[in-house]
Amino acid sequence: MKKRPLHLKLLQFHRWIGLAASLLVLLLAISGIALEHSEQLRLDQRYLTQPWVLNHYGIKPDSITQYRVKDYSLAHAGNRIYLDGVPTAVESSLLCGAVKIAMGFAICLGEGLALIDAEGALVEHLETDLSLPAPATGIGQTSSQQVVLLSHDGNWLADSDFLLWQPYPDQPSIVSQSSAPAAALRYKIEAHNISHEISWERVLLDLHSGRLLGSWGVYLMDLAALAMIFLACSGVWVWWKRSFR
Amino acid sequence: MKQILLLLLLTPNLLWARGVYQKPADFVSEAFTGQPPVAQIYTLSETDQSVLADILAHPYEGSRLRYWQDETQTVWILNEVGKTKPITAGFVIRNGKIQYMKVLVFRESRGWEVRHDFFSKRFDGITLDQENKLSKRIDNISGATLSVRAVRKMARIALYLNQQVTDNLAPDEEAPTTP
Repeated sequence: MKKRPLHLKLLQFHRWIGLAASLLVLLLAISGIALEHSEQLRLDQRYLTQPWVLNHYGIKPDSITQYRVKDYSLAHAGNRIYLDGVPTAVESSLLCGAVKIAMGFAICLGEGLALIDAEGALVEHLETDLSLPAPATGIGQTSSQQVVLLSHDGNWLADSDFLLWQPYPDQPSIVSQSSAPAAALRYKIEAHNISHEISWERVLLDLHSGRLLGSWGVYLMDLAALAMIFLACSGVWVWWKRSFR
Repeated sequence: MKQILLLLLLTPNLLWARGVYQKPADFVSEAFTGQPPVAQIYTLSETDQSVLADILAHPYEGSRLRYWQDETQTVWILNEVGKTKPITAGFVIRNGKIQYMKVLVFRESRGWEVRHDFFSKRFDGITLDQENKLSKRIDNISGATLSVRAVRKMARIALYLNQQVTDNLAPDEEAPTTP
């Protein structure tokens, strides 16, 4: 019996491996193209909020810190400051107090102060090194509504523009204190907090690498990659054999 | 062996690329030879907001900012996001020109080339044209495109805002110098 030429055996393997790996190769190619254009498609700014996706990633809402200022709530969750449950433009890792001022609110962020208007729009971000006399640990007000910055180096009284600071040896009449948010507000903040955790880019990266299915998914993608290497090499071999017969 | 040594020499540079190169307060103090004036507040008008949004390609966050001014110059400390994190830069403006600028705080993991003098010196003497664009082209740095873009935007903003707050500052007869 005549022995079957090697390139014909390879061709058979080429067909079957190509068929078996086709789905994974399609997945790799499509996710790869999407990731290549991630910036244009703004995949890092579009988020998934489906419960099964959040559960898969183990996403839970961050803890909430709230300071009540008259009838308003200034809260912090994740890295966002919320005014009455609505996210503001202010990002911070910490919220250490808030007081009402003429233009809106002065918010103690630890790494500085943020001044926002009554609608929550940022007026100015005062960074500690440049615009404050000391790192803030809290905030308060005098009986005449002047803002007092609390710090480990003492208390400081601000002028109306927050340009000049002078030492304030007394205890302010009002010191901003944290409190637990009401249930409805908590729900509102938590809903927003987890809605910006998992981006399309993240999911596509995990799909592309196989990590979406855990460590077995990674091995599966390794196999798909090996299959593509085999297909490339066997394809070239078969073509070469046929071309130069 | 040579490659390993080169990598070891380069690694500390790479590790330290992200960081504070000069505190903003020190930059301001240095610009005024140790005696900075009290900061002033500039409140952005609707026109200013529109111009800044056009320069930045997104709305400017904030409705006012502080700056430092004496008889001859203004100093601005600005922030703009490179890829994902803000870059902090300081600008000293005299006679409508950038006297010098410096990247003060760099928070990204790449694109740190902008913090070096070879880049910041490109801005010396630059002005703003009628379309609020820089008078001289600032070439891109491969691998630091977004950082370069952010610094260019801040330069335009500093020059624009300088125009808004100054009328006729005293001409400075000395040649520009970068400390």
